[in-house]
Amino acid sequence: MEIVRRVFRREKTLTIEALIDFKKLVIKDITLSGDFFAYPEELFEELENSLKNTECRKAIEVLESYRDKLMLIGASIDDIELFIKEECFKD
Amino acid sequence: MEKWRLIIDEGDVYWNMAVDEAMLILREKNSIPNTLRLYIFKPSSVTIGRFQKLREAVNLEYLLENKIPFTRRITGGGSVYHDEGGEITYSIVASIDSVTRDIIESYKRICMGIIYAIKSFGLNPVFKPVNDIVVNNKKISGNAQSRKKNALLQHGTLMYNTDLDILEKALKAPKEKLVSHGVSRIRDRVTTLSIELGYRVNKKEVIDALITGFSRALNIELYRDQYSDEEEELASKLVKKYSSREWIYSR
Repeated sequence: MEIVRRVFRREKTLTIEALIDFKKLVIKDITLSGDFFAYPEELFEELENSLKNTECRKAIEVLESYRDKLMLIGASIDDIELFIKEECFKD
Repeated sequence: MEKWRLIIDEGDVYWNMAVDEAMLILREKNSIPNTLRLYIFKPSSVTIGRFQKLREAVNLEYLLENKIPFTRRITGGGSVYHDEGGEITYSIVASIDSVTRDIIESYKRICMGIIYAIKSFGLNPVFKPVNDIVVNNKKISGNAQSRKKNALLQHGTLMYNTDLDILEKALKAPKEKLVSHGVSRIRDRVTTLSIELGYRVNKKEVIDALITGFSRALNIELYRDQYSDEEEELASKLVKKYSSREWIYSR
């Protein structure tokens, strides 16, 4: 298990912190924080919860399912996806 | 010309945020009319954005030592220092259709009220999408919006005489943000009407300018009013949420 943290800066700042089980490739915990805007806000919190205790591959599918219904301003779902791909599957 | 309600009041940070959410809920239910609220935080307080981590958004030790109250907003965006004697906050609660469905455009349309207000002092404000207004490239107003299906709440600030020393001590900004703005300190990124004009602007002048500015920007006629019993009741219940550790420390 390892805690990984990255900061993404677009118009606003998105900080992603995750506890990843690299043996099982599972995101045990994750927080997405910053000064960005999300519409609807509740859906963003639902997405964040959906990524917890989730296999990395499944997490990417979850993210994809939110693309059409969640609008982020100043941050991007692309950055969350990049984070999961690069951090979960790093050698 | 459409008539909107105008409410001017003051309260502590928990009450102020509770009233804004109560108005949004009740506007969604069509229980209240479109409203412009102008208010002051008494005592001076800090609010942080819905998705911010408390410890990354504010200097918590400084706030606690100096007994500066703070809470989390329902809107996104960054941390704000609300100076009792130097900043006016506004909130617009309206049906989405009376502004526009396009979120980015709605920010701009409402922010035009602040732009007109600042212009009336002879300054040259610029809207910086999505939610900032700057004068001479320094932030003087920040704005944030939340939406339900049919109603929106947009609240924001206009700093006229904010104590920037306290602001700088109270708030934190990630270094990535400061770098992107080409500054090393928060203080170098913000300004007030008084600083820009070189004389001390008073509260009444700012309130009058905001009333005129929003009336023009939204093409509305404002009439002074009070909260309904239902609003007061709902806001009183929501005060518990905004003063709870569960909400404030949720991130």
